[in-house]
Amino acid sequence: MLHEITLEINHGETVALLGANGSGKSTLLQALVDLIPLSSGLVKICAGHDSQSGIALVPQFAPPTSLIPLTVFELVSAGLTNRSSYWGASRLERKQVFEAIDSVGLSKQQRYKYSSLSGGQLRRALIARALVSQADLLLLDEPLAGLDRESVISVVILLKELKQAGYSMVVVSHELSDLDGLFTRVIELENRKIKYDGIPLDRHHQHTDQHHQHPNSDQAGIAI
Amino acid sequence: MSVLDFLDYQFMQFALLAASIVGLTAPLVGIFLVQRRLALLGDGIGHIALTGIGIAVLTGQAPIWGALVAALCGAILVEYLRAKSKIAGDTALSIIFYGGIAGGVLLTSIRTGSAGSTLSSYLFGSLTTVSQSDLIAVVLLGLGIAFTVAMFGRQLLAVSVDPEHAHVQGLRLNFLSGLIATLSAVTVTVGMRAVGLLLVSAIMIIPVVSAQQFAKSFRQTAIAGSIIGWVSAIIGLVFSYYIDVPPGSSIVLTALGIFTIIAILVFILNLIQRKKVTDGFA
Repeated sequence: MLHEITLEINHGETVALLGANGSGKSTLLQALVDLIPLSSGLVKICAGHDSQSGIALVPQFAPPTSLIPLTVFELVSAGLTNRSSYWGASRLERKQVFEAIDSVGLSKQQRYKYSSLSGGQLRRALIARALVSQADLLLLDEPLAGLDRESVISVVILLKELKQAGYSMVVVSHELSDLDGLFTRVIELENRKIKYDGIPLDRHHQHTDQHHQHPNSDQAGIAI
Repeated sequence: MSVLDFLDYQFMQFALLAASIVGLTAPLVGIFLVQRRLALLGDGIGHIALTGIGIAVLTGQAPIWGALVAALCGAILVEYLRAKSKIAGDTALSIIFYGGIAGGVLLTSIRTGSAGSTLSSYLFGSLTTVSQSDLIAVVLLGLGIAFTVAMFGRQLLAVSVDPEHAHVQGLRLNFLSGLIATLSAVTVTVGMRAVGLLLVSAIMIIPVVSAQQFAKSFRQTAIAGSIIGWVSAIIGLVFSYYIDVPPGSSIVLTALGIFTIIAILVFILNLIQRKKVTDGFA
């Protein structure tokens, strides 16, 4: 259960959502995408984009190994389903899927079964699936958890490229060191409340109570 | 006299067409059941369709429509029990199983005195009972299945592989789960005459698990499964004509034979490949 959380994430912001285990950061993320019903309160996703939801979740874990062989291309294509088109993917949509796979560096693996990917490749495939849904706000749940050094570097480079490309992001993470320079804002939760909300500090873990007001941009991404 | 003599008989032409349609379409639905670990759903629905046949026999209606209505009700009931109640999926299925078969036997016996001979052709299929009106129903329902799978395929795949992601994408999970159950019910009805209600579920599942052994993608599994289903239906039906057994048994055993051959071939190919790799290291 989260308490009295009020926050607004603006277009173009890259936000780190920090906190210890059980602090409520994953719960907050799941509430944002309606995976957990709200007992009270409101999640408002503002317009300013074409897609239905405008918001895509990159989960920490891939779906359990598919019983039927499923290629990376087919997994990423699931990102197309937020559009109300039927009859399979059009040529344009297939091109979008291929471009998303290419942008995360997996074009060689697009015909592989997704279950054969390494942890880092799988994380990048899930990011490609989110990109295909044409969301402009990406919610990433522990994108670096359980990855080896090389994979961590490849995912961090990808996230920085996405920031450059103008994506807004909320990244749930345990710690910031690997993601240095990615974020424009840090929100720290403790005991299911916001403890800190402001610019990233060099030594964030000094637990300062200083609160920075954010300039409201004219194009809001999400408000809770 | 030739081995293709059976093609001269109209009942065989009807039976071949009905079997072809179920062979081609059943795996297209079965692939979603396998992926969702609901391989026995078709079996449960087949049992409840028996009650529909019982009602149709009792009221003098066409059995295929009685079976379809009962199968659809059963499918929706199973989905509802799975989604809304505390009853586990397999328990919900077993309730449908037993209730369906008991209802079918009871209702048919009231009308005919003995359920055995009447029900047997519905349980295991029958070559001679595919009437012209049955065939029209089978063709229409088969086209309906193919149309629906082609239209909603991407959504059905998304909800079968990763329901959580599908929900975030804004897909209606209850609707799509209901659609898979509905497609299963229609498939059971389509297969009722040629394969029989007790065995039709096998033709939804076995071709898919056969294809899954060598296919490299979901799409390939669907296409190969459909072809294997069709080949099994045709070969099995011809066998049933020559050795005079219910077609359901020979069709399902043919499908199992194909499954075994593919399993052995894949095993041998893997051995050869592994040997090549180890030779490469040597």
